[in-house]
Amino acid sequence: MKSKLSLSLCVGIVAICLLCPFETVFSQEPVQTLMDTFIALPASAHVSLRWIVPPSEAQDFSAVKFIRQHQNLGFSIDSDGNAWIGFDSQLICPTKQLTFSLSERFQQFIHLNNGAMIFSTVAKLGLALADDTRARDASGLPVLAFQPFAALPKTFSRIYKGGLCLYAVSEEPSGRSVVYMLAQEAGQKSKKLAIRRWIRLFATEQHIDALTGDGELTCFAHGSSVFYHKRSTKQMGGIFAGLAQGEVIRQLAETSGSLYYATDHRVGSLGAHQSHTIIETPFPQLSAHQDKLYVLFPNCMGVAVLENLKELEAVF
Amino acid sequence: MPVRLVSLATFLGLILIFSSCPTILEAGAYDQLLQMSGGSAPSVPEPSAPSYTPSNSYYPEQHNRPEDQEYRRELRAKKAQRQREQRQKRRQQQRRKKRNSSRRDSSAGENRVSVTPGSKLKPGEEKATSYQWPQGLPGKRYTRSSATKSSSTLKSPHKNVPSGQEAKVLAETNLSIKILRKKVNLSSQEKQLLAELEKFSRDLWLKTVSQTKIGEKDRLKAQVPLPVSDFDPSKPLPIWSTDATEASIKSKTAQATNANYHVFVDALSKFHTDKSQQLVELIGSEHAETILPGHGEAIFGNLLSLGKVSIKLAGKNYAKAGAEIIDMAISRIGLPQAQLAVEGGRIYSDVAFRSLDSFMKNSMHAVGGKFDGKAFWKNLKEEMNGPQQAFFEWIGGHEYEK
Repeated sequence: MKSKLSLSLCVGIVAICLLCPFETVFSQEPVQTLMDTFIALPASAHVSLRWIVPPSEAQDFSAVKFIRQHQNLGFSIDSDGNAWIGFDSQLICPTKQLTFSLSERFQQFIHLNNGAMIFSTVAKLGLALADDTRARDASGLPVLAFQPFAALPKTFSRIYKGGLCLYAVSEEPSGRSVVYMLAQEAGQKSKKLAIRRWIRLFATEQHIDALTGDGELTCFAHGSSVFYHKRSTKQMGGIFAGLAQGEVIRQLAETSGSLYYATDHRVGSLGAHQSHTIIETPFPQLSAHQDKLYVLFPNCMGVAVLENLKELEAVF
Repeated sequence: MPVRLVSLATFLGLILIFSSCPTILEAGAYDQLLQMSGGSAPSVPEPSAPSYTPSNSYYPEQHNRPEDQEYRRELRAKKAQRQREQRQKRRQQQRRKKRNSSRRDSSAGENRVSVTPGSKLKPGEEKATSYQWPQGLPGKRYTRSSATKSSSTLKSPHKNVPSGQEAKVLAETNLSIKILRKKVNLSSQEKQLLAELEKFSRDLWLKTVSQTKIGEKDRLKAQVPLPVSDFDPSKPLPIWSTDATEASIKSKTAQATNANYHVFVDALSKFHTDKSQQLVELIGSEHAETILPGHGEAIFGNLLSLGKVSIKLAGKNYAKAGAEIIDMAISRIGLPQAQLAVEGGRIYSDVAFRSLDSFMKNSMHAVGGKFDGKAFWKNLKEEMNGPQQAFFEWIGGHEYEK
């Protein structure tokens, strides 16, 4: 009886072992992680990260190319949360499955909060028009016509997003940087809001590396330092970033009171009471929209969105 | 007397003897030398008379040849004639220009001299009656006063612009706006006109841009002239100086390191220094390990916790902190799994990113059929019209309807 029991037990164990997949019990599927990238968040904060454009897994994808030429990469988020990536006068929106090139070589492109997509060339500001020519470039991409709207205040001015307004920074031969703004204004008689002039806001004696704002408050970076300018009071001041002296802030992004920066190595946040490094990765590109922070990783060309960032403030 | 003759003869004879003496002495030396060497005198040819060959090469002697001199004279005469003709032509042109400018001035009511369009003026008369613009200087430029004078002729914009003429009318409108903006003190009528023209320029730009069959040249020329002005023209432009910047940095740094104002947390650098050993081990392992309990993918999404760093807050009495120590989760970002659905086409993004890579441009041809056809353009137009309309609204074209 005992031997029968032990025999049936053995048979049962063998049967269970055979039926159950071995891997699910004893091992986990290996999880691939993004190379050279770390993220630091408060353990109690419910900040989450979600991929909106998956990283490229193509065997022949050359990440080195995009890392080396990160300065030519353009990255912007439109009003619907779609990521637009520009490289070598070509544009791609993977989530909308759109790709095209522009008839003129553009320097930068930005999205305003209302969804307007604005391109800047060396001397002009304009938009892309899908006309009837249906031209194609050498690589077979459709070519959209560049339609200029107005001249930039100075040639080689850089443009920056600022909510519903647009900033332009020009460098004068004396080394001074002048900040201009293009915003909707009411006329002297008509109350209708329209773009009427380039407004000269302020000038700095230093080079401006990055800029963002909302029309009233303008934040700009010079090297590793961040400063602000209030339009109504003309007040200027410094914001503590806590970066090493040699580190240069390449991008600034602003969402509902929080300020985020990107250098060649990291992404961080600057709050009213904190300065905090969030992500360490090579040459990240930033764009903020509606309390969310979008990060483009040039080492895989994936775009991830960080949500619930408001909790960062709550933690401290 | 004979003595004198004899002495003269002897003197002359002596002179003759002495003068021939060296030749006598040297006469045999050359032959002796030849004999000693055992040869004969070499035969040296006599130099022939120089002969000139007519060629293009430069010989200084050629200048003096009469036929060349004649040729040069002819050339000089021709050149002088040509220069004379050119001078005459230039003078004629200048006279014509003066006549035209005097006519323009008389039409603007500035010129005191009445010049009828058909009448010809003699140069002497012109000098006496009208102002002479000095020769050799660049042409006369319109001064501010002349620009303002011509602004009186500006008209309010036509509301009905014929189709196909938008670009031309826009250029004319922009020129009128530029002329008005150059004037310092605008009258109320001119201010109204400028506002009207500016609005008209914006609307016309929208109309021009909406045309799909516009030429590329006209398209690139179609612009709205935006002026540049200070936010507050009554006050000077605020300039952020170096001294102020340094002072601000110092004060902020002092505040941050001092007490409750700022809390600076750099968890990653602390993690790298303190936990470098663990990090090496984790990178070496097959997959990331979740160390922090209770913080899985449900909370962090694609984040995989690697470790925890406890950081002491700089400001101990900071009210919001609540505790002196805060736990930071250091994570790595997990790549999306193949079975996980991600917004946007995964395959598409792979193909498209390859198209951004110049090495892989040919791959677009391989999948080119996907983008070809009317459907793609229709889709593209529909997608692109959103940002376009938003742009038109932004510049103030609410009333504009396509």
